[in-house]
Amino acid sequence: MNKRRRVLVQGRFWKTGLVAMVLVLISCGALGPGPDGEVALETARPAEQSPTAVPTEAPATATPSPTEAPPTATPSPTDVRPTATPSPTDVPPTATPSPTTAPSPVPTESARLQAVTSAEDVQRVDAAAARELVETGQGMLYDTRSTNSYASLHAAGAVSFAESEAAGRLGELPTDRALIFY
Amino acid sequence: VALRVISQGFVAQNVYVLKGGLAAWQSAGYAVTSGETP
Repeated sequence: MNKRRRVLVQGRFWKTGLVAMVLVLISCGALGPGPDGEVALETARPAEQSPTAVPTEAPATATPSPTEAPPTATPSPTDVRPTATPSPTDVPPTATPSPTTAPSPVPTESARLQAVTSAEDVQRVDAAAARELVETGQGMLYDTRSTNSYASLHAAGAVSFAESEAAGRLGELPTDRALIFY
Repeated sequence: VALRVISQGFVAQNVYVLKGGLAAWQSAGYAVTSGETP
């Protein structure tokens, strides 16, 4: 009987002590409602749990950070290599089709002029331009009419080059200047 | 003659035909003469 009373009395003291503690905390503002109520609770909890919880939680929070860092560092090199290796493999395919599209010969001006096949395709020059070429020494004037026609009248400075004699006199023509025929 | 010259290997870029012939040369006032080839 005495033990039961002691337990009950001790329980009543424990309850009253607990209520008193709560009232003290409320009066201090640690548990009271207010604008800073949530912050006060967060700051108060570590203070209450510091004797038991801090030693266990502190190492727990410190260890994960070093363990998480390596996993992020290791995947990065593996991800970079796959992206670097495909590039050399992609280059050859792009280089091979280019030769197929490359052969597109563009006719040059000289090639076009060499393709002259009729008298109408031969370049024409007027009298003024022909005279300038002759006077500057850049061209020679040739009279392709008969020798008799040439003897009767011809342009000053012109050389007789009769069509009937042309085949055997091609070697006389200079190759370093313009040849003007009339 | 010009076409034959070109066909014999002369560069077509250097071969010309006088537009209008001797008549155009003479009408342009440029000198003409007679006689044999010098």
